[in-house]
Amino acid sequence: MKSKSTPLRPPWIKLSSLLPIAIIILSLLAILSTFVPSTLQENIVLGFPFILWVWFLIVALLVIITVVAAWQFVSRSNDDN
Amino acid sequence: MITDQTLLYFLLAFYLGFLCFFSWYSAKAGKGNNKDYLFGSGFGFFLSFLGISASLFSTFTLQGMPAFFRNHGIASWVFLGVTDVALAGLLLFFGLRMRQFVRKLVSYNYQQPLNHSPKNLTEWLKKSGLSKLTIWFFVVAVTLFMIPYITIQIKGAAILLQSAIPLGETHLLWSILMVTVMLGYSWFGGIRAIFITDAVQGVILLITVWLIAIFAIQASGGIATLFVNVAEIQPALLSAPGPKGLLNWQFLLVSFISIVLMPYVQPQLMTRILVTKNDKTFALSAVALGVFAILVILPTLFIGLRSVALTTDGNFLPHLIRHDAPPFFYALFIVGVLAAAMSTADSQLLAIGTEWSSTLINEDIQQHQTSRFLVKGICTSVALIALSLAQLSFKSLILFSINSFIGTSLLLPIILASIIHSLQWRRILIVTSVVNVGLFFSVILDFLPRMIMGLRVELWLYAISGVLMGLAYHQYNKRLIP
Repeated sequence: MKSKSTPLRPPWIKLSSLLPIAIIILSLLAILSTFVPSTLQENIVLGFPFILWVWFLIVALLVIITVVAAWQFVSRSNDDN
Repeated sequence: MITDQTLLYFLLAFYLGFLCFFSWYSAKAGKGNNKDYLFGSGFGFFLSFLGISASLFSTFTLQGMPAFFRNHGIASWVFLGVTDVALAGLLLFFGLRMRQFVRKLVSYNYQQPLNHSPKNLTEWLKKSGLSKLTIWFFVVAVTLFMIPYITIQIKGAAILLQSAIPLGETHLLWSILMVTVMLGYSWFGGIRAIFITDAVQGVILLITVWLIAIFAIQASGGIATLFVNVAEIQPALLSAPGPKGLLNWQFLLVSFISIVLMPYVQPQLMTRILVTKNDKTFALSAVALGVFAILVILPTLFIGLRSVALTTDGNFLPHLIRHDAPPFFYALFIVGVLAAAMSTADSQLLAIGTEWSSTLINEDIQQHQTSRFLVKGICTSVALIALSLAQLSFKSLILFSINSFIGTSLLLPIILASIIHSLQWRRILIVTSVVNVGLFFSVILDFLPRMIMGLRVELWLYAISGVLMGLAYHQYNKRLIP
């Protein structure tokens, strides 16, 4: 009889399926941040305007979640192979 | 002593030689069959991600993006940086599902028996059983929206080349030369030539834009000084919605939706999703695209803001380069713009050519004898139309592109209709797309107002289409292929 082993996966493995929702929420946050008062936005912190740090952070988060999702996909396709 | 002009001639000749060589090499490697010529035989990681990137980041990366930061301020980062990285993340998710779907379509013999998975949007729609009328509408609408986009690539690069090496009174001769070269290497080498040249052109674009940014930062005395200078001259550039009030939430939302939907409705990007070698390569390419997007957009922020302190001239880039960069650099910049323009326009032309061939020929275009000639004929015709339009004047390169993106994004309901089984919902989605496009054209041509009840018309169209697509997909969850 052919047995099929189920690989152990961490519980957050399904996170990749939440990728679109996470991306849309982060992008909407970036768009809504335009409502922050302009004096606060323009305030220069560590060489950059404050709001630009917020947008850089959002982009960094977008990249991180995309990399995690891609890593999950690639490791899963390796498992399948 | 080598003068700047001599260096420019040398770089242009070298670049032309490179295009000729890879066109010849691709024609030789292509085994002479239609499949290899039109769709290739599976592209690996580097060619896939650089190809998608070069195709996405066109001439406005070097010309339009810095101008946008200069005129509308740092909130352009949301419109450009956040949106393009989001595009890459969503592409990973939906692109993989689309690849999975077209693989399953092979065994779904509905109307047009293809013995391979669809390689372009028209093959996909035909194989899913959408009517000929729908497919014709889709192809005509995509072509109408893509022509302006090709036009601005030609116009942007030709004007710059004309300013560097004048040929006659206008940029007409440069436009003709550019289109001839682009058609030449696409004709001989097919998609392989386009992928290879696009990859190299993507690298040229990245190097050029970063070098300009580094020179600009150095000349302004560092990044902190750059922002301080802008704060003194025009503080509104350091916050949203910018000095002209353009970058408000409505503009940002419309541009976000239209840009992230580009890969699923624009043929040159969809073909690249479908012809990548395997899913793993595709996943890695999507991540690399996100990183490439940051790397290519970030320097345009510094370039745009540096120009604020430097000049009030609208055509600021040549001025900035001559002021901040070493004398030889202007030649590299010209080649960079040329590379950016050609790498976008060539893939768009070939994609439109294959979409039309798939529409006009009832059989599989990979097997059909005349398809290659038909593709070349259509590419040439579309290029000639774009060439003629490039002689007209446009206010802004980037705003012109946005209308092109919005137009194609309104066709998404048709793509969704192809994966829904319910005929009733298919009809509803197709009619939605037709109405969307009709209303959008009416707005562009000023037959309808741009705002209804305080909201942009595009937002109303997206909202209504979104609700209908959501209902079609979930409430009637009988998909074509479970």
